Amino acid sequence: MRAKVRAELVVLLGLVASVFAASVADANTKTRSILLLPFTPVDLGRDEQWIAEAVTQSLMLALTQAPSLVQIDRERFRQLSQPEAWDEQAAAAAAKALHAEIAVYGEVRRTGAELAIQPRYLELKGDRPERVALDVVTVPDGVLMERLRSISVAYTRALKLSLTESESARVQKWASPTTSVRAYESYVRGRLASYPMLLIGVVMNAIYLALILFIETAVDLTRIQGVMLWMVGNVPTEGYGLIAFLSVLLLVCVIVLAALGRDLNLLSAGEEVARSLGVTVERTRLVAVLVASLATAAVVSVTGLIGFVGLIVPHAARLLFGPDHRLLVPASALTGAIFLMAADSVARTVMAPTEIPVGVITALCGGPVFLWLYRAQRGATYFE
Amino acid sequence: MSETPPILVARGLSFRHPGGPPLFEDLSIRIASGDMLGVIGPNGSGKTTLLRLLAGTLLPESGEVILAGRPARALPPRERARRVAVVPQESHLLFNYGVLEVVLMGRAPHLGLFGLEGPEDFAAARAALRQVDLAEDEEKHLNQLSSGERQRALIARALAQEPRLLLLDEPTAFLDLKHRLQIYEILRRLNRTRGLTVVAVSHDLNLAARYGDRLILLHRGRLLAEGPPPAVLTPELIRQAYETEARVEIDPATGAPYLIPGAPLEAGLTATDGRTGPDENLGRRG
Repeated sequence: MRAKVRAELVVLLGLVASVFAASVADANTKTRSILLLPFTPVDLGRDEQWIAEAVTQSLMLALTQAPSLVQIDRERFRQLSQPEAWDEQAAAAAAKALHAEIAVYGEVRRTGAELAIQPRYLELKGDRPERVALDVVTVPDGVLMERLRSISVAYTRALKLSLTESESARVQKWASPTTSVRAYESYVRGRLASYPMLLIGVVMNAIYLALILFIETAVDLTRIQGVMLWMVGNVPTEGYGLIAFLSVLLLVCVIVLAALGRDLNLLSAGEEVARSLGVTVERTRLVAVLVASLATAAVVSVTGLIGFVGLIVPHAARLLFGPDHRLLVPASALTGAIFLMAADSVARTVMAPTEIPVGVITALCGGPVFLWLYRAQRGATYFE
Repeated sequence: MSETPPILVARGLSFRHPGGPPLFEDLSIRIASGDMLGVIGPNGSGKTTLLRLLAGTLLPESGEVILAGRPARALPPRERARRVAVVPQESHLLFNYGVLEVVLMGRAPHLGLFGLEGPEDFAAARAALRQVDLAEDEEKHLNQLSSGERQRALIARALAQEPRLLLLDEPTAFLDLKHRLQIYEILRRLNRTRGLTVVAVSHDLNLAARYGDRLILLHRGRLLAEGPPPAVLTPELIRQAYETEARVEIDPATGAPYLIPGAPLEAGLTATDGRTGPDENLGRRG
């Protein structure tokens, strides 16, 4: 009798254990909800407060690539009362309120010449959250972007995410989507201040539109149609004088940009590397922006607002000709010209004798391609 | 100590990060030509910043760096890049270049307008790849290399600059033991056979002591000690800099001192705001 009870107990315990083991094993494959909290800045200077947020933003981008994690929406977390600092207690309370299984938090501290980032997380199973501290990551000046990657990698390891090779490559890529700290800073600040870049874009657009409308009302009535055509974008029939002038100007601009190609290549390896290879970073950047703006302005002043050529062609050219800017700059100028000629031919012929504005054709081809590229490159996060 | 002429002299360097406390005050360093120098020190002691100041990519507030007899401040960047090359700790390219393309980037300071490489640039890049044992891999893309190979490709890029001074920032930080040793063997070979002056920041004290002819120990922006490894790797200095008890023994095979760390000092926890506290640093579950 006794022996039988004991045997049943053993079987029962065995069953419980196996169910438990299965659920633990299952935890690796099934999705878990994760709450990414802002890292707390400690002793950071006024101009480096954003770095704390940068860590969180990097993790948000990176961990989106891990299919077994579901991130809790930032808006939901914003509705909670925001503590002074996200410490263990605050993190646990927030995670409980939002039913998160994992809450990621930590701090960024300035110690002399370096920043020390302490990543932590809580795992909420049962009533007592389990606290985990990851290795402190020290960030000497200038290597923030690389360190952001190692933080994401550390989390994927600590959380025992099973990732395919391409998934973990994407995690690393999105943890530091650019090598330029400055570009990343403006991205992070943009996220913090509820999309000011977008707002600035809208405002600038409105200002320039007002200028265009003003010019439109100021010109005499016979030229109104020209203004209209310019605004939709077309390839007008112009005299050889203008074409010659434009050609020379553009040729010079393309030559200058191609001559900067080597420096632009080096810049894509990171500012510090470029500097150590003898690039005068600020000058290169300034010249590149000015010359590219000049070339763009010259063309737009003649053809008007033909959309999407500049957005699509450089990407396509990079896919076709590789990333070397010495080749890429002239190649994308020529690719753009060929694309525009083709689109213009279509515009002039499909509904002949009526000519469709070429901007319509480029937008109809370019828009969907751009959306596809955007999605393929940046993942679904950007459409939130 | 050395009759050889210095390749680099730093005199009275002062530097602070914008808005931060002073990091270096009146720091002076002399690097002899043909030296193999290890720079060690705890986190935040200013190793990376020092390397950038020596490389001339960061300018000091006061003091000067003299490179092969000329003030670095007055050197045009390209000319500077022909003398000093830097290997970053880990580099990450925006686009997926090929290995040969990456190494050819090191030729940039030697190129003229349009930056087009001639046959001698390809020869220099291939020679650099041979020196880091990557000659077979020039066709590969960077993402096809292991981390050790990638680091070697970055060293090849620096070698393609044909510098007289090579600065490395923790070149082996993300590598396993075999690849660490491989990198240091390559550095030693370059130093011994080609007379290249090598300065490497390292967190691995034993590797630094084994491969460095001299060590520099930085602590809170000060030069705590400088000299041959046995003079720098002493229990007293380690305790002072790293706030850790340690024993030092001599490896009978190489004659180099090696360190066996003991416990971190309790006093150290308060001195550094708990930053190096044991439970935080080890990443254990708590």
